Amino acid sequence: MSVPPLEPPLSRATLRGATRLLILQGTPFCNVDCAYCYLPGRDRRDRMAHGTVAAAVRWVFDAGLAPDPLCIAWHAGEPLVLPPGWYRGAIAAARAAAPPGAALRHFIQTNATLVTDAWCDLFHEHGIGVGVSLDGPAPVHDARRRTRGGGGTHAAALRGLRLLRRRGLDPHAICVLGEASLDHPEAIVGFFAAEGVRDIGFNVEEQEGVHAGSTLARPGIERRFRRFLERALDAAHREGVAIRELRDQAGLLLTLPGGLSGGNSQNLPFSNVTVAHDGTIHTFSPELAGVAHPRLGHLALGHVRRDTLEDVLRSPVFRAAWAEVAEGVALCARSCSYFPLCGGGAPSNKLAERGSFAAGETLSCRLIPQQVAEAVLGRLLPPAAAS
Amino acid sequence: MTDAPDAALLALLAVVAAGTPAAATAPPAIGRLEEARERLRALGVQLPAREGLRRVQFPNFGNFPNFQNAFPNFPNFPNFRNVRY
Repeated sequence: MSVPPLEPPLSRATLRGATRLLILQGTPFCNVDCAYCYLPGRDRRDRMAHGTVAAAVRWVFDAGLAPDPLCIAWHAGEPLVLPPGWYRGAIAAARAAAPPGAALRHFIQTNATLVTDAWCDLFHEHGIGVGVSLDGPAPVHDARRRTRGGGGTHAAALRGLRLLRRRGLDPHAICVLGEASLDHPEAIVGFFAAEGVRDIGFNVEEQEGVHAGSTLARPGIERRFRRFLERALDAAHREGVAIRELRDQAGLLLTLPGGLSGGNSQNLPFSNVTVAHDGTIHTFSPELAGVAHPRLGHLALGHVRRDTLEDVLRSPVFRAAWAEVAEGVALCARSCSYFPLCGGGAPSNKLAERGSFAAGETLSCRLIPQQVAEAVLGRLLPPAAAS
Repeated sequence: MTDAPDAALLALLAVVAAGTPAAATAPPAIGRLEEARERLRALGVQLPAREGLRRVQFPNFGNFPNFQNAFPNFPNFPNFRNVRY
């Protein structure tokens, strides 16, 4: 297997069109307080100035990073705590900052508890894609997704989801899986199917950011997770629901033998660009935004109003992070047979679990993508002959 | 890029959905990737030609290969893999 070189050269030319997703943190504030949240500062009510929105979009285009279309996700805090009128201004600012004719597509990932008709009007008005964060039936969801006062949020989220659907919007769902979720695959898939959600993404509860532990970090979890996946896959097939992880891994089988040998969207620089509410620039895993690491310091790479792409590429923070990330990807390529279907893992998980980006396998690796790959391959292949 | 990869993916997903899970005691299958591709071909799934895929080696990732590049017409783009909770 080819091993990527360390510290590969980066330039405006090699990075052209690299940004698959621009994540804008309108605010870090969240109105709920999920037990597994990775976000630092989620009780801060700061909001991004519209001038910063414009500067962020202009920065991505000026750097030559923007593909066509440029996808913008409003996230990293609960986006709906800001009023719809703020987004009208923000979207107008983004439009004005982009070159004439450049296509922008906006997406919002929300906990759905604050959805109203006014929000649905906005989503229709601007063709905004909507995803909801819901963990399944109330007992599973409310165990982790709680208010600051300790109350459940399922009823409010469900009210929001149903309003979105009544208004003709078709949200996907992101469902976080913790240890307690693993006994309920049919109930989780069945819940989404009954609510008309046809596209589910499973995120595992990760150790990252300010969330220092995971309920999944326990011996034998891989086997339980695999069993969950198999049952969820069967339930999804029966219910006509798509599971993002299954689709991604199956799709990657079609791209072999190269697969993701070029890295993945979390470890390739500027594939994700996150601009925090204060205009600071971040890349690699979006969860790194706002993180201050004891060894690496604050991981902000620059500021959209001050620094060019070249400034960022020359910055000590970026150079240190990229050298480690590249070393970590190289380590994965050398040591992990799942590398073609993974591309080298998630820097945020490596930093949180292993203390360095220059690390290999993490808990997240052992669950997704490894168990998903095994579930897919296990259904494709006849049993191996006994040796 | 045509719709052909999307059709191949849908066919593959149908094969996976109809498949039987491996036994819990089965050894890892990750070493059998090429066998999986052959199996798909035998089942009539049209695999994209390798030379037709965008595979640019690290670090020239202007067109780095990933699911979204290989299947631009599949719904739910972006698929929010990088949006967390």
